[in-house]
Amino acid sequence: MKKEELFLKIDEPYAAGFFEREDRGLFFRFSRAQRRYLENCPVDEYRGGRLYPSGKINRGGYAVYPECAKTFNPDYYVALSEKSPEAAKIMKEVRDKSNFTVTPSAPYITVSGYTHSTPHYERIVREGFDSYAERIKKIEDEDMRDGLLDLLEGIRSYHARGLAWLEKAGADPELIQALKQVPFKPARTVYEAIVCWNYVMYLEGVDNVGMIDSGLAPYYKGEDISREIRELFENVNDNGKWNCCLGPDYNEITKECLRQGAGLRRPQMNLRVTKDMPDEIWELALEANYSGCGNPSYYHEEMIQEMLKEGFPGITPEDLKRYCPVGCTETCIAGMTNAGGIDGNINLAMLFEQYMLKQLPEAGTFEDFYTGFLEEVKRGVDLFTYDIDRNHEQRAKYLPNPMRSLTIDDCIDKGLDYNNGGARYNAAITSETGMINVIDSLLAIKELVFDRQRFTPDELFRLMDLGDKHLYELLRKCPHYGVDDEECDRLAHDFTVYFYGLYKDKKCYRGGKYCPTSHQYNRHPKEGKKVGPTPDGRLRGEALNDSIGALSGKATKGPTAMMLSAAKIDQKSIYGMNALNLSINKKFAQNSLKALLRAYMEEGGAMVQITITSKEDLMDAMVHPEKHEDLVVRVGGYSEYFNRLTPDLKRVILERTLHEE
Amino acid sequence: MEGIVFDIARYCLDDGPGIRTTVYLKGCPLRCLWCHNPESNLPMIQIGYDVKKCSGCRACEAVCPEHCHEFSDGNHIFNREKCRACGKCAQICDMDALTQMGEKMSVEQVMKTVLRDRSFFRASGGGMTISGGEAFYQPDFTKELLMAAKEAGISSCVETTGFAKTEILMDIAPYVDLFLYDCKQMDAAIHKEVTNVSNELILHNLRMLDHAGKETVLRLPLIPGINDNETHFQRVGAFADTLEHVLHLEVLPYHPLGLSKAALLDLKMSYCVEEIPKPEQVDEWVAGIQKYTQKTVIKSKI
Repeated sequence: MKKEELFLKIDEPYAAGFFEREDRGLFFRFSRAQRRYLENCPVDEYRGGRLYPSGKINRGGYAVYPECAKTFNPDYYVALSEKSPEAAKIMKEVRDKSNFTVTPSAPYITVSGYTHSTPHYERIVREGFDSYAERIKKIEDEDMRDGLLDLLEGIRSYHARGLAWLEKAGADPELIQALKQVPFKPARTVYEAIVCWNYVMYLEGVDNVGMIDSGLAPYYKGEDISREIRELFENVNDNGKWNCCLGPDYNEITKECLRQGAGLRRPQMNLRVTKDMPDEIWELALEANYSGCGNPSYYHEEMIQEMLKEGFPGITPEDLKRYCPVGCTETCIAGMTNAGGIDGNINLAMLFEQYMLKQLPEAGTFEDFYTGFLEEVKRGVDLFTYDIDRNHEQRAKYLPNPMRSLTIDDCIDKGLDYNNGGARYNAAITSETGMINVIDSLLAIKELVFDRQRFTPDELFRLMDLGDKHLYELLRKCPHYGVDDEECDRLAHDFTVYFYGLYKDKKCYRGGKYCPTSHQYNRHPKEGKKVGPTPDGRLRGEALNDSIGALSGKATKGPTAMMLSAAKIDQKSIYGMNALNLSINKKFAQNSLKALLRAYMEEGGAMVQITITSKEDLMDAMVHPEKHEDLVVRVGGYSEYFNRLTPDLKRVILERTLHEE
Repeated sequence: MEGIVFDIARYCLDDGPGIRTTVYLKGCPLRCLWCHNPESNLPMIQIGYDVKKCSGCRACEAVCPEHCHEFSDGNHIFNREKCRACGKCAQICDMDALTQMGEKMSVEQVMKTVLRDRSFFRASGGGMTISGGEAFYQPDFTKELLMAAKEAGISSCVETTGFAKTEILMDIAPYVDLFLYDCKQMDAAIHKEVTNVSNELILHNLRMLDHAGKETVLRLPLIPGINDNETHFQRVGAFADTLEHVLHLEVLPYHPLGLSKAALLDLKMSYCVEEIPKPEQVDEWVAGIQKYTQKTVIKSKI
């Protein structure tokens, strides 16, 4: 049986479409796949709102469907195997071909090859897809040209079916009228603009909302759009997806977003903070924080502008304004970026552990030990970036992304696929886990093994292995990062200058630089399970640190000292963005949060995410989850309902430092 | 110039406006039955000993020049009367069973820590607060700290019992932006009974400061069974209304944290209540005092 027939037989239109024209190149084939999906997928129900589609995306029970970052969903295998093991095997071959680094070069390396981004919403709203068709026709590569035109046909089909459904369902006439205009023709009103914005968001698969306040501003004439904003945000929340960027040209829509986003887990609102951000914006933002939803996070605008110039050389002044965190908190220039959030992760704690066990017994001085470790880190970063570059190469050759090539500039104008350097700005955003654990481990080794000669290396390893209570008491008391100690913070500064400096001259395969981050998403417990006991006071398998703040329980001089330590890390070199978690009791927050944020930024801090809760709430939620359905916490750069976290993550959140009396 | 400091606490929100760093000085002329900081009473450095934390390693025994530490039948006995507080045992103790309470610090050393948070002071309207103990028990040191803060452009508060020579208080007052002034008991005899000193000097000094135009917050420690009664509320409310520059009154509910600290110094506290007043009780106290004064009565922010 032909492959196309096999997939049609098991009702998998996307996969069937991929095998329809095996004589064409991959770009066309993936476009055809998405077209067939759009022609056949269920039309969303109309739920009575002002926007359409709405609610959780209906995948129609398909095992294989389009996915914004990986072209098609990576979790296809089990569901497809249930339909047909043969079909699953065929799709696995397609997936494996695009996915170098099935076995990474070192055990401390993970390559994920994920890319958060945002469509160029403003352009689609302004110009409409019909004008895109005219630009597509000028592409020389016929696979890409024909593929994108095919994709547009799929969108038309999906749109027409949806419109017919709305008319049949007696939907809001204004919504129907708006959808007769957008997304193919330019929006004329703010309502049409927001309808188009929501529509494109769903077409892409719901990743990020983008710069909604500045994007809608040209159409806005003072209308009440609270309901539409709320629905848009609820749509993001229903799909568990990501970010909305606000500011720095604060306007009435900014305020409405802060009002409507308060209390919602998602979207994560990322507020770009300037020195003269108006008081009203501050008040609305802080009120949103006090609601306990974890939103917004605060981004230091002036500092980030300087970081972007280094991370994206040649970036234009116009494009600098389009900074827009995506995913957890990854850097993106809205509508024109493939920065790979997150391309991969290096487990620094594991690398350190391996090095420590082998080399500490041989080191004569701390300087010898530290110098050797830096060399090992360099070797590790070289292997890491090699693996990521090969992954980029495979994706460039074998995994085109038609939807993003359509919606993200400058793929159409360059005639290049999104994964092959088509975006205007390209980069590789990578993360690390365990950096603060490593810094504190170095400080403990310096203190106990070299300065005080309290333990030999073998004694230290043996007692760590045993989890010796006395030793761990000592380890926790050793000089450490996070208390504004000059010497400790100097090591943190020097190490981060070195570590992030290793990426600065590297160019990634798809073009652009490496833009490392220091945020964890939810990696820190599972990466911690791979690491034995470490001298920062961590037992075997315990979670690694979740942000650039002090290790859990170690911010013993309070948040001002912790923030001053964090400000000494080489944050301006973390182009992908770092995350500083500030967990703070509500009363403390109401009396000090704005001042903490302003002062931290003045000292050189780039970003803060806030969790406002109490230890009592969290402990009660462990025992009575039913009473805390709406309890939201910040994890490693993103917001999530506490009840939905894994047991490991719940424990980590509970143990994280709370600045309470 | 050096002083004996027993703590420098950063990010204090209840010791004056904004984010503050509070410098706690050793020494106090009062002996309040409920003292929250008994380690501050004596002006000299002391060693605290927590028997529950001792691991029996005997490292302290080896380093103590006065042989204060004895180990017998698995018990560690600290002979406090022989101790000269050199601090060697506290330095060597891995388990924090022995801790040094108090440290000689210069003005420069203190200010180095205080100034670390100046960005936060600027952003919040905060600054430095001197407390204790009693801030005026080391008047020269307190004055130097306040002068250094002024020179650095940092606002200063002083938390005080008010029990100090008037001339000392008035000499230092120009360097203080805000006084946080304790008012524990209006009746002189009861005041002597519960704090070991009369309140006449305290009330006199408060009037002097008010006359000099110094802004003050009246801090009212409320101790169940001692001063949580209508008589005290009425008298302190009426008194506050006679003072032009009292900004507001602030209720400070009792807390039992002093008890565990007293145990480290082998001190027996007369007032041994372990319960913390419930929030509803504190609200009742605030309302109870508010009845008797035109000034605003608040409870602590945190």
